[in-house]
Amino acid sequence: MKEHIEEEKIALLAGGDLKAKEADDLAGHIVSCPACSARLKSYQEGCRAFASLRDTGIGESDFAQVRRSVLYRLQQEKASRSWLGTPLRWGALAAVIVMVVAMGTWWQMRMPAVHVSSTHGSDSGLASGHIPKSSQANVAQNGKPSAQAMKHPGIATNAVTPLSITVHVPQSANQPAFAQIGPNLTAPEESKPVLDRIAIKLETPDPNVIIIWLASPEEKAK
Amino acid sequence: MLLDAAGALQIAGEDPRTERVESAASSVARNLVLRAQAGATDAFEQLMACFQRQVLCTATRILHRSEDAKDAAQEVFFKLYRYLPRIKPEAVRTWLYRVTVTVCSDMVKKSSRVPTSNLEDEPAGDGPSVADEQKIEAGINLEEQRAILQDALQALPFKERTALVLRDIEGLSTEEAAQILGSSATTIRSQISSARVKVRRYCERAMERTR
Repeated sequence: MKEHIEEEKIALLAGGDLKAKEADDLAGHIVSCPACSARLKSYQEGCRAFASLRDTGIGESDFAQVRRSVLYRLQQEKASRSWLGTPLRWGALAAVIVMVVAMGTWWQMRMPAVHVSSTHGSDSGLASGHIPKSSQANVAQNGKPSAQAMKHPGIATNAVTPLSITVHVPQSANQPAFAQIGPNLTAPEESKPVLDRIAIKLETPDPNVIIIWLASPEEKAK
Repeated sequence: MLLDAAGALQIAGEDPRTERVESAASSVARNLVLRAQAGATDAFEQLMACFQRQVLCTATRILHRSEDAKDAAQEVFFKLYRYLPRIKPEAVRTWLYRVTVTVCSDMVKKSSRVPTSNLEDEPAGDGPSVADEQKIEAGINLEEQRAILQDALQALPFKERTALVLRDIEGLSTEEAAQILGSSATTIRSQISSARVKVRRYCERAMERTR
């Protein structure tokens, strides 16, 4: 080999990065060529000098500073994570959320039953009565719930056109009665409420939904 | 614990990068990772002490600035803590090298303080003669030589610098460096040879200036 070895190959040879066969091929030329031999020596010294750089300028104080900083940062992060940090606490939070949702659902399911059970009187005794305007406002119009009805979940949020409307006008304290006035919402003329309140019972196409409206004297006055 | 194992072997006169020392260190590091993963609070601190040299030295050589290197080392150990449950105990050393390089790379991209390469388009030249080199080497001391080497390293493109740091300074094999940098061994060899040539030329010019 008369030509000098390429710079890149000598650089690799110096660091032992050439494959054995390739290194052997170059070795013969290196021995016979002072220039290439000198370049190889220079690169080898460069590699050794680089290896000596490893710890240069870094002391134990630098290592300690890094360790302290990392531990301090970890402590700060742990503190800032507060009580939400552990899986157990996340589980507790999830349980509370589930309980709140379940209670809300239960409460919504319970509402219609409260209204049905809150009625008093029976269908047996019929009496006449008139429907207060405030009560009429709660009755579904064209199958849609009124604005007032929307404020009372469980009463008319899913309102439909009632099949019948019964007005309960107690004539005496011990004999309450309901008056069947039909779907046209007109009160009978002989309506004579004598006690302090009346009840309006709405029957809907859904046999499970019965709406009872209790009207106070103030509402009647309106 | 690692320090004890490796230290005892070093005291016995062995090079810290020999296979025996590395094997002992690897075994201890593996145990520390397992203990830290199990929740032992002191194990993480020992793990940091075990790898602080590797991480800080690598970051210092790549970033040059001591403060930047310390910031990078902190970030690396912070990531080690965060990802500890997912790390394979036997691969922690390689993982730390890889994260160190990634963190340094991010810092170089963000910071304008780290100079970009000025060795990209250097003319090849024939270089000084053997006699010239001997004169040059005789004329400067070791500290100056190291400073020049560090400057030359900083002037390299990031990939070549990183390959050279892992191969020549950290003493990893080409294959290990390739695995850490996510390249092929051929690519790493090419980067290393190019980097060595550039560094040699840089050093030659620097030494000429010091005469």
